[in-house]
Amino acid sequence: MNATSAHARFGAALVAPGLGILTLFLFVPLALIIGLSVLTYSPTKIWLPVLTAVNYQKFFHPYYVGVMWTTIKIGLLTTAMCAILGFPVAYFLARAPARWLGVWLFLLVTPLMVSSVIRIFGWLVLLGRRGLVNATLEAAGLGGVDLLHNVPAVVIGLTELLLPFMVLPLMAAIETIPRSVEEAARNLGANSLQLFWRVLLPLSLPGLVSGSLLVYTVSISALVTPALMGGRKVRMLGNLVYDEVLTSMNWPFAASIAVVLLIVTAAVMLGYLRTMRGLARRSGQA
Amino acid sequence: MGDLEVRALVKRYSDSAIVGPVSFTVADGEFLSLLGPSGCGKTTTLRCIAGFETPSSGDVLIDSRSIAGRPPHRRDVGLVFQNYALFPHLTVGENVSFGLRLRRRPASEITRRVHDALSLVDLAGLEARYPRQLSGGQQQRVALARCLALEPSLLLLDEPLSNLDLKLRLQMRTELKKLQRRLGKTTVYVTHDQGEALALSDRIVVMSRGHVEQIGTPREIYESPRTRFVADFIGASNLLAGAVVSAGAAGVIVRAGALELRSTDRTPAGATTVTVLIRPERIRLAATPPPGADVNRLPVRVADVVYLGEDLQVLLDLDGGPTLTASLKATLAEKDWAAGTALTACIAPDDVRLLPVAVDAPVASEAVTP
Repeated sequence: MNATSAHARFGAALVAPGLGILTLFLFVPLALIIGLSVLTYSPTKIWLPVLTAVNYQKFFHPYYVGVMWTTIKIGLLTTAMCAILGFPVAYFLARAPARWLGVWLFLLVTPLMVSSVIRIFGWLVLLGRRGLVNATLEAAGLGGVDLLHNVPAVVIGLTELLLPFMVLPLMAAIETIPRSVEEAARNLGANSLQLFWRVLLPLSLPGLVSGSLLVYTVSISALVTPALMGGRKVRMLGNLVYDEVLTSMNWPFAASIAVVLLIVTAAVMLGYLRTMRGLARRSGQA
Repeated sequence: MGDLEVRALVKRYSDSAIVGPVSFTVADGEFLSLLGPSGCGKTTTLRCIAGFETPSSGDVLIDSRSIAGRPPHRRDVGLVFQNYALFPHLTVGENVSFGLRLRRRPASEITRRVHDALSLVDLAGLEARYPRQLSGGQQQRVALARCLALEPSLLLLDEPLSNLDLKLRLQMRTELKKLQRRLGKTTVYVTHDQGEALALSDRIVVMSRGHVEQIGTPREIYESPRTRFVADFIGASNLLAGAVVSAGAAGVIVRAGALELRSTDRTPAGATTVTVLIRPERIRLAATPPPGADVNRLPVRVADVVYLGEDLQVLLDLDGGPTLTASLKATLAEKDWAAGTALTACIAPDDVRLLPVAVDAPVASEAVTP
């Protein structure tokens, strides 16, 4: 037995537990779901062991395709909002004096410690029919509007929830940009906007990419936020799955929606990664 | 066309640390160094000129016009950073053309000026490389070219050579001087390396603990330091505490321990106690006392001889007095002086300098040799 093989065996021993958990609790259920999605629905037995493509055909009904597009749209809008709102925060944190950083980081992640249901009820208090905003509008004689149950409401809820997932990787990326590089750009005549577009943004691209992937994947599979803030009007694929599993008891169809969601997520991620890699190569980071 | 005036510049920090007041002028085309140990305020002064620090009071003027109120990107001042601060995501060509593209110059002009700037620093042809593909010295040149491409009225250099190894540093020092002469660019150079400051500068501003100690040509700074700090910081020195015995037309007699020395220097105004400075290379050693009355002759004993290649450092014990260090060319010295050899140290009265005794605590006692 030589050293290399001992080394390899040690490595395998370290990898095994994680890989085992992944296999047992992710890949096996995933395989089961994919299998379930091509089986026939039965109102009495939930599923029959007969192969069919009906579940996927059903998905191509305009209603379900519409929900898919809404889901993708909400995912992309949330990602964009998190990036736009998160960059200044990330920059501020990356450049904050070390003794204050702990306080700021704590404030940033505090929302994650609150249950998302409670957080969303906070939004309901603000945006509800009898909520703070509407009450103010009515008092001003402007009449009330339904501020909930639309795409912006869901995007607002998800953005608040997912902002830290964008800020943390962005902050790590910005921290690696030496301050002197910023000062050099200024010294060469760059104003704040030029500094951002030509230096800060290209150099923080890796952080932006990982932050976007996190926010997009989490938001596209959202369930509680669209259920509470979107109501019956704004539904995402997650809500469909939930209804099919618990209300209609049509598990094979629910499984096919889950598979579509997986494919949509993966497709958008791959496209995004490819674009970003192209951008990074052009700017010499790859 | 590019003269700089720094007028009573003061920068206060919250923790009661103060830099300044600092005042100096740099004539058009002049090479001025800010020299001092770390924390002396030289970088703060430079950053105030570049606009990255806002002075608490005082003014910065280029061609007699105040630039103190302008943001850094509107100052027409080129700054080369200690760590080069190149843009890692841009090629050498894009780095050098960065400022020109911001100013929306026509493409043909950009190409020409990038090529010219890179030719100046001997890097023409490397436009397509990325900074990480270059050596430290090459990166340093790109940083310089990036500034020069904009033809700023003033060039600021913040310890630009300190990240290079010794040999490269000496080579870059020569090239920098040559380039600055050729372009006639007004330059302010920040360094803690006295050798660099002496070799490069037309004039040097020596700073310590936030204030200016002395401003003068390299020769003035070395030959006639005005404070104990300057004498100690620049070059090697023997510094002795002395008392003025008499002052007359023939010079000043000072007593340092059991020694009496004659000096042609002037006593600092009204002082009865002084710091006596004798540069090690101005001490001549002889086995037998040479004739001639005009020289201080001190009987000494060799304590140790340190061979430094080019030079020989001889540590001398004086009878009942302090120790002295003498420095001789190794080729001239008799190399077989054993410890305990009795010699005569000869010091011309011109080489005995009298400095005011430092008012504040003597920090200067640590680093004597460079």
